[in-house]
Amino acid sequence: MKEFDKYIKDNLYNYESPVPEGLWDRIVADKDKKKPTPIPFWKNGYFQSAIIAVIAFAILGAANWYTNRNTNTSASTTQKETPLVKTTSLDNTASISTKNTNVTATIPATLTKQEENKTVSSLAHSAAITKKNYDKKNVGSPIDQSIAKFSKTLAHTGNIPTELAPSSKTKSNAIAINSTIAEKHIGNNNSETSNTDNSQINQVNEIDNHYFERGSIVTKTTSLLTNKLVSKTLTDSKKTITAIHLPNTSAKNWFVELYASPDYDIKKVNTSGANSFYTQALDTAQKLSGGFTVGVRISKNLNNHFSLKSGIQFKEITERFRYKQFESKSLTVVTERSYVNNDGATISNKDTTTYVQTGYRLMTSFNIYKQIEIPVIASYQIGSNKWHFSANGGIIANIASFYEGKTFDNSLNIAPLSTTQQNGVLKSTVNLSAYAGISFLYDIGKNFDAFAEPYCKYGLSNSSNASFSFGQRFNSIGLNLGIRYKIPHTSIK
Amino acid sequence: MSEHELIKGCIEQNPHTQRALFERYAGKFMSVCVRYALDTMEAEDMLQEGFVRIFNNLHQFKHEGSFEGWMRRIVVNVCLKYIQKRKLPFKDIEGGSTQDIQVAPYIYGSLSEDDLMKLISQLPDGYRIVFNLNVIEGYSHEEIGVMLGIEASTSRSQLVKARRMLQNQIIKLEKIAV
Repeated sequence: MKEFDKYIKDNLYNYESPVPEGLWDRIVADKDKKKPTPIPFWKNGYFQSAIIAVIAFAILGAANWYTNRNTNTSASTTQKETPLVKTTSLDNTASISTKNTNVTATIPATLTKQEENKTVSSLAHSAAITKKNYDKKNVGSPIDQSIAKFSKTLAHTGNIPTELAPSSKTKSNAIAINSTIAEKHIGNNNSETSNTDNSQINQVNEIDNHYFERGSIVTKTTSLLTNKLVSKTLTDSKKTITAIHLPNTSAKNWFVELYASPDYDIKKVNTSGANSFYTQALDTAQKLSGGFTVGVRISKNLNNHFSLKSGIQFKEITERFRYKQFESKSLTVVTERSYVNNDGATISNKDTTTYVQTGYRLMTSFNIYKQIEIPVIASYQIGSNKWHFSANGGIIANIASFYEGKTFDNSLNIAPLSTTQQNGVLKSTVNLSAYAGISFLYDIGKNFDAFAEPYCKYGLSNSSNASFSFGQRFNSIGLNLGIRYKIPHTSIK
Repeated sequence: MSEHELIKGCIEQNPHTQRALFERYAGKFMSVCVRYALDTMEAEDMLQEGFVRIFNNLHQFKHEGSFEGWMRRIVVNVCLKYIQKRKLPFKDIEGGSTQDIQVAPYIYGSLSEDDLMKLISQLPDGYRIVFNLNVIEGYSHEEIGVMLGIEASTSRSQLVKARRMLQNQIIKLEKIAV
């Protein structure tokens, strides 16, 4: 047998058949038609994942920087941005510090003893605040509390604290509210709001050291979190502070988002030791046939634009698995013949033949992959009252996987695909994906927005076990459709 | 022209080098295609597509192993693609014993290469493909199983029967000659 095989191979392996004429010309024509087009770099998987990661980190970094910047510069003052300063005053500056507030703001006011009206700049939540409303029951925010205390102080002392800028000839009144300056607390006691120039100068210098550039003109304006000024007019005689303020900032808002998405999943298989036949067989047999995601996220606004989202979501992927189940069937045929011989005797003859037929049956089963995931997403939002748009980027951690179905083992035999199998193909440990999406939000009523969020998710690591001879990861494109509910402030407190 | 120069020239899309490569290997690969194809027309199509693939993927050749073996593998894969389109049935066409028939070496030793090619071409499709892949190309039954989407055991049985059928044909030829 071996000699026969060897003889055949020796004779035919290098055997040359005549090549038909004109074949080269056909090849040249065909070759030019089928020149491989290079894969554009933006379709390269590594490039795409790098871009997603860079965008996600850029958004996170920008959010962090922007938030810190607001905190650090909220008390800075510039001469150019002082539309509210009407007069100069030699001795009128007050510094109020509260321990409870986490908002940093400088509230300059123009307060003159000669005039009854005082203008105070402030970040406020109410349109008109009367002094009598500044009792503890009605004061909502720490800023309001501070203003109330300050107003109270004014009422008790009849004096306007003074801030003197060393290098400035212009003097104005300012109220600085800052959590980091907790040493000075002005209460109802007159002595805490010193009437003496020296103590006031000390207070001012302390603030100055923290927040103001040395030599600059102090407290002309303030840069608030929203970069929009709110002015109030404080009238001593009426004991009223009138505030003109912008619409409520969303910086403190919390949201709950419920969503669901039909997903188009793409499985990427790369060999890590498996032969190409194995992966070719897998490719032929398996085809993803859709999936979905449902989830809930909590969103916290860091400021007017940036927010962080996190929650939990459930994802299911369905995969069709087709394979050939080979079967052999045997057929036994018994042929009986009877004939009469020359002697007149009847002779019967039975002939038994067995046929074996081997074929295959095309079988189809469906593999189900279930995943529980934690999204951590940074978002930048812009928009008007009705419409909002946001760009989202972040990481999705797959914390648990459950799957069942069938696959090929290394010998290309059918093997169960199951979470409970010791030699499971897929791992159930944490697996990371990069996430990027754009949200379109529409205000549909009080505290409710409807949103649509097309997104893509790129697997950063293999979801298959390292011991298995190939790596596979899932990428997804989907459209989150859902409802966003703004949690009222009262319910948060 | 050395093999290295051929490869380099073809990667650089030099038409003269490509032509030289074609002329050097076309005969061998044509015989490969003829053994898998139903007829000469199909063999020509296979060879044409095989060379186009070779030229388009030559930059992927990593100089690991034989260059001719690499090209031959591409040509065989093209042939298998054509075969898969035909939905080749792998089934037994006869029952009975699968024992080999012993053929004396002097009998098949007298056959020419053309005779062998004709004998192989007369084998049923399934037998012929498995026989070519295993005996001439050197693929294992497991590899053949994956390539053709059949069990390795099926490949084995097809080979045994192909070999037996071929040996029967040779014996018939010998009897006719006598």
